[in-house]
Amino acid sequence: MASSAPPPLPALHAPSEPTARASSPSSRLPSFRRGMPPRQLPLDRAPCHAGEWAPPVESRAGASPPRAAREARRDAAEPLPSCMDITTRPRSLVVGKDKLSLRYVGKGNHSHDAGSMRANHPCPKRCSVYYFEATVLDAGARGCVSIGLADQFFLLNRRPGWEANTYAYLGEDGKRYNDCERGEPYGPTFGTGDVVGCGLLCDRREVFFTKNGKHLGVAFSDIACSLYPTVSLHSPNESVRVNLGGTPFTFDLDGLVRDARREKLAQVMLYKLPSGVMSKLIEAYLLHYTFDGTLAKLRESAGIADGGAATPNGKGKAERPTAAAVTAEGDVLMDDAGNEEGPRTLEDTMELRRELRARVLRGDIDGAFELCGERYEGLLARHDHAHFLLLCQGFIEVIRGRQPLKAIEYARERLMPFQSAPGMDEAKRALLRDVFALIAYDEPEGEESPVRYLMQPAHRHVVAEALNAAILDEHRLSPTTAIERLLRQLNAVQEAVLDANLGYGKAIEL
Amino acid sequence: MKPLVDVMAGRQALGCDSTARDAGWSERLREADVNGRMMNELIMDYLIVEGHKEAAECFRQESGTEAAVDLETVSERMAIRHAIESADLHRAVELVQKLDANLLTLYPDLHFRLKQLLMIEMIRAEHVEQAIEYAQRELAPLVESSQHLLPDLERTMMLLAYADPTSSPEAHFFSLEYRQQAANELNAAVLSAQGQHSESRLPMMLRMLQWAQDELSHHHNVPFPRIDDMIEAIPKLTSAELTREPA
Repeated sequence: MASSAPPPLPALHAPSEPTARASSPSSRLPSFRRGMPPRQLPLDRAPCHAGEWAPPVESRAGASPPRAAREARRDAAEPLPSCMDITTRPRSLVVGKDKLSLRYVGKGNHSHDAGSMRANHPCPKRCSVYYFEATVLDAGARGCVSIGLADQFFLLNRRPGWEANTYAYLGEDGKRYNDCERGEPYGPTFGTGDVVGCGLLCDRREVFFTKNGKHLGVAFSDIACSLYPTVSLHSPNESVRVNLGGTPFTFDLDGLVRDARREKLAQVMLYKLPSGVMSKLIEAYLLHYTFDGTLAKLRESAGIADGGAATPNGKGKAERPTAAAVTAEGDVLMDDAGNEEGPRTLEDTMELRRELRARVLRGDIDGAFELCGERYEGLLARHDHAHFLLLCQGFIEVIRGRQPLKAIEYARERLMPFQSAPGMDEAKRALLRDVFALIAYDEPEGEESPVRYLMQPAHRHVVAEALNAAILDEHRLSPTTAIERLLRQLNAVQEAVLDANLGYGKAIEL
Repeated sequence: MKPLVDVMAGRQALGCDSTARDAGWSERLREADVNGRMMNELIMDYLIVEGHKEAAECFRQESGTEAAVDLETVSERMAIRHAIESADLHRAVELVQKLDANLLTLYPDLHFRLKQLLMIEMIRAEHVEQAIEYAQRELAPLVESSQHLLPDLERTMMLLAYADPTSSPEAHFFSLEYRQQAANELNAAVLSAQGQHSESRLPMMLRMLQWAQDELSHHHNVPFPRIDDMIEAIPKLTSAELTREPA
């Protein structure tokens, strides 16, 4: 046996590498780290069975900082720009009560008396497109109105586009500006009565502008920092009203978003799944979590005889693999790829695994121990993670039966010896402390009990799954299903794409 | 941001030990928001869209996962599929009309496909005159308004030229696969008419995985452990990834 506890994650190496399952002991246990109550075990790997489901862990206490940071980034609603930032108003501008209408009152006679204003928040990054517009109410003396984006360091007595990390489209000459006082040809000029817009295509980090609803093409690409919607006025009497989405846009933004999504989806659809992959993955999942009734029905409707030879009845779908194919390639094996026993073993052990799961889920821990002993001698000795969880669960069930004295006896006899066992790490000790703490509460599952997570049905699922994984490990089968690993990979890849794209963009929602 | 640093560091020091990078990636995998309830819902979605009604019912009991749609509509949809696959086209049309009277008007190509299948069955039964009459009466008018169907009509008519069409080069028209393809198209149409995705989410996610992996490797040039064998589903840092030069 390469290791005594199932690692919580698929190994990242080729299955044949001997180090494949050697993960650090602390990573084998769900995080039992001490944190703010109430604490709960992560349920990541325990699909639930009938009738007993607690909502998934929403607030994951005790998460490590990088994870917390990334989750914060993922979950935090990005504040949308809602008005102009009047706290940094340059003296050359007056702002209307709506905080969206600006008028230039400066002289406009040198390059450091421009009147620029940023919105109160930067453009959100986690969207497909961010867009805003401005209506030119008055082009003033020279029509030096510009619209664009600028970073937080941009000096507001300058025009956007003149500095690094600022981008603009100028009404006077229709040129685009970035990091230079001289612009490049881009679009038509604009003036009084025109509606101009500026958009940020997050996936590609591209900036485009519009005039009176017409897309003028990509102006800049590979923008690299947080940018604020910015407008700038630079000649007497110029006046604009900014629209940060409070009123409908002149430009068909929805159409653009729809097209961007469609284009991306079309790219995704170019990828095909190899034939039969889907049904194999589903079968392996059902086998793993012992949903055997579903599996039987599925095989029936897919026209595959139960576990045996293929009996195509002419009604199965074309892509459906034959049973032989399933057996030959089947579920993931952790050892040599030549081993073809995977699905066989998954199937042969299913009844036992289902029974064990059922016993844990109904709180019959003695029964679970008994069955383990009968059918898998030494299983628990080899898998101290599962063993420990099961022992703790025994204690928890005694507590549930409101027998504190019996619980103490159980603890002395069965839990305390474990305290000095070699596999005991900080995570396990923390769990042990939590388990003992149950005695202190009249109502261990009540609101005031910080360790009530142990009493919830969801915790039984965690224990049942640990036991299931131990048996799979015994047969050198993966403790996780391929589908879960694939979805984790999808999630990780999407996050990495986002990081590579400097936080800009959004995965397609299905 | 730590894993990114790992990836970047690995990228800058090419050829060095990849363990740090792997560690960063494992952390990302561990953090991924994948939980039991979500998994079960995805399985349920698959069973429904693929039309495994009884399996879906059983899964509801075994896993406690609720179905998003009335499971009865699943069996209606499957009855249509079954009728097409077993070449009972009259029944198929009848069932479609019963389920959604407007469906075939909305999808004229499918309407054509069903009628074409009907004609093919006439040819199989050697009712040549009947088939010709049917083609003139039912198929030709549909092709008039949808010219792109003409090649299909022509090839179907070709069948009449063979003494034994079932062993001719066009024999695939008689195959189960051909009917299954039509059944799939119709199934997708029914689903989208019901406001559901015509493909279940799981296969879509797996397509997306392949796309996103390529996006990360080729577009962003970031080396990372890829999954290429979906059955095995183990991320591996391939030598191609290790030697990938930043853009």
